Amino acid sequence: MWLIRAASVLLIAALVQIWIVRRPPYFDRPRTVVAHVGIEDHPLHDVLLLLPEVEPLIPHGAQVTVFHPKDGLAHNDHDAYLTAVGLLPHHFVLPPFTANITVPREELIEWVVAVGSPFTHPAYAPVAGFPHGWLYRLRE
Amino acid sequence: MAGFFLFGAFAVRMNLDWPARVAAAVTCGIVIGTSVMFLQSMIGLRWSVWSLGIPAILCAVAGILGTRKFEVRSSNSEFRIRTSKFEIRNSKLAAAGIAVVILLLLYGAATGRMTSGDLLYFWGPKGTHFFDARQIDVELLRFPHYYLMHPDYPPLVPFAYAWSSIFTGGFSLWGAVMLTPLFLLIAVLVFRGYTRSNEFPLLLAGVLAVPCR
Repeated sequence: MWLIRAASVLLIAALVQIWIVRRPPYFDRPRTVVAHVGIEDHPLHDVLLLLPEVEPLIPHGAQVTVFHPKDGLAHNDHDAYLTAVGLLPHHFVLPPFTANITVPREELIEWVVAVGSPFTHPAYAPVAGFPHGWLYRLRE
Repeated sequence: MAGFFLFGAFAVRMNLDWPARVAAAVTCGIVIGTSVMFLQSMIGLRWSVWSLGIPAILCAVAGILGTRKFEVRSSNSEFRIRTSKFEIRNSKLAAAGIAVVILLLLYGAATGRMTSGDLLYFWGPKGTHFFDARQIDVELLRFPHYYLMHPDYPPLVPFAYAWSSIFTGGFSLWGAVMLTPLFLLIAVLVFRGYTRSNEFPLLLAGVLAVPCR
């Protein structure tokens, strides 16, 4: 039985150590569910903060994509757009390739949410800026 | 609540203690509640507070009646008699250890220290859309660009999210994360009911809690 007790104490200590490693502050209310899940900022932290802010600006039912731009352009950011499917239930969220530079103008998606850095596709104009990203719309 | 229907009488017959009975009943309630959702979705009935609440209440009433029927047989659900003060003290320490593990998980959930990517990538989105559609959102599942959301996975988790969303008015990622300590507590209490000890459930709590991070 002593072995079971010792193992239990070790597991509890390991859990405490994991929580300590995941950065202070230890007792503040976090802004997102991923605020302290690693030793660095989680890539979805900004997505979770940004999407509730841009959501009211996009008409319901509109097609939208979400990603962290890479060199100013769209790339396959599955994490961001799959998360957006849940956070924008009244919109039609599509993968980031729908805003690729290689996509013909008439097939480009209408709304783009760029997380973390600006989106430089010439066919898009910024609609609004936020601390964690920008909202873009296809130019007329 | 609905779980008492299935497990109430059974748990009494198994001589489980009350914490284990409640924990098992909650588990069974989730299965029954989500099964009702599946059946209603199959026949095209949209989920609502009434369509889900009435079957749950009926199941609970049936469970309470069933439990009373079998309660006569139940008398020996206490833990085995501890022979020494030393054993009793160690048992209490182990129970305190279980509480510590649960509190640590609550802390981790409440301070954003633990989550699962799958919650954000597909369990949560499915739960949100099912809640929004008030049924299985077939369009979401068959949309080819959402194949990474695993449309073929059994829908128990998103059903559970949609069920609670219907009764609370909306899906909450925080609520989903906070379910982790609750489910761990349920698992530990059921295990404790069968082992009639506190030490083994403490080990189970530790083994399950560390991967929960």
